[in-house]
Amino acid sequence: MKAAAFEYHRIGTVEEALAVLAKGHGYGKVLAGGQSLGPMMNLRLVKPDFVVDIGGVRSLTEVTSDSGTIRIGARVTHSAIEDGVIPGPTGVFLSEVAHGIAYRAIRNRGTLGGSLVHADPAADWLSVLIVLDASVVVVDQDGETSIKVKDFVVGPFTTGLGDKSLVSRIEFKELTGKAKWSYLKSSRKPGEFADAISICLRDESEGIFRITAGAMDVTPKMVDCNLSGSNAEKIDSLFSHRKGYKKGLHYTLLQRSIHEVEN
Amino acid sequence: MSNHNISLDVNGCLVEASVEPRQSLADFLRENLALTGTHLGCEHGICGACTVFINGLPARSCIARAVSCEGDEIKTIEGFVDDPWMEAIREKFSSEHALQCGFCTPGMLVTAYDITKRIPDADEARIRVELAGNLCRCTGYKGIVNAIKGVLKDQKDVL
Repeated sequence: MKAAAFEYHRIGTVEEALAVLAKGHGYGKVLAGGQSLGPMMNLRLVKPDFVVDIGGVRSLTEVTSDSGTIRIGARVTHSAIEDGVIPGPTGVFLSEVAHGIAYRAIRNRGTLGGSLVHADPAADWLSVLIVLDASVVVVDQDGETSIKVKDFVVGPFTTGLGDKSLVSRIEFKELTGKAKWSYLKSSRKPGEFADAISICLRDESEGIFRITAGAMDVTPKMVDCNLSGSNAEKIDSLFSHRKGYKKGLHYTLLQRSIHEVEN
Repeated sequence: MSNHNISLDVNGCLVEASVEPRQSLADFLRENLALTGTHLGCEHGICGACTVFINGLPARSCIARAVSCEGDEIKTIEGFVDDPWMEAIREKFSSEHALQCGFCTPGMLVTAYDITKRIPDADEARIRVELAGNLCRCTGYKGIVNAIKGVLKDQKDVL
């Protein structure tokens, strides 16, 4: 299928983008890499009146790391992350994740911010950003606001992003050299959206032991576990709404990821 | 809905055109420039038949908009005609029977080019993972994987 007609705005700066979004009539969409919006438009599941193309905004591709915080511009691509643009142990973790996202031809254009705003509950980054307890920095004409990703995403394909705002970057605390993680997903074919995602992240020097279950029908869920003692009740709470085969699949993956981190 | 003027480099030639924003890059290449080597399968980024190089990187031309490619360098399967690396890949596709109906082949060749350049030490398992974004409905994967393995092996033998 072919996309429905829309007005197109190619802009060069965040300020210009915000000005176009503020003035725009009707339903506007911001186009970053277009690897989710593109198919959605072709399938006519999304029919925006106007599109703001931020593909030329260079300031949104910066990656910085200082005082233990990593800041990643919204337009940084999956392949840049796969190829190691993020420093330190966190970069190793995120490179592993990025390698498993769709296919290289998609990763070359798809962006971290775009994936987050699309908010597919089975998206890799959504689960990962939740386990990292990341924040998303949203910018509008009044300035910047920082929101935890788990609060920003309110449900499947739904975020709290206003129609006159833009995601400018994502921030989270850097992992230490002692961090251990296991990122597992179950897909019937490499590159497909997962049927189940399980992440276990343990960084003892920071007192972190978090578990996330993703690719459910709801926003990925995260629990903070006790570094010692039983966490069975907390783990059960992740899947209280699931039944049957899918529940078994999530449980099995979760057990494997915890096992990988603890051994 | 107004048209936009774009200027881009396609296979080394400067192209200037007025395009409707909704037009995909693939449709622009096929319909405006008659470069029909780029094939359209699923039109939502899954099958890989439309894969071309945008600024040196493989990308889906069915979900990219031509209007977004202002100033970009596009290389389609036609643009690889004199490329010796692609010639080696084409020869291996032929000798390994890596195509049947040929519909997926332009996308397979472009992806094979990227795999062989980017991951020179790829083993069969890695080749299969990297190739997962290109579907062959004749299911002729064995020959395609063998062709890519063959290109990498020949390259190692030269070095």
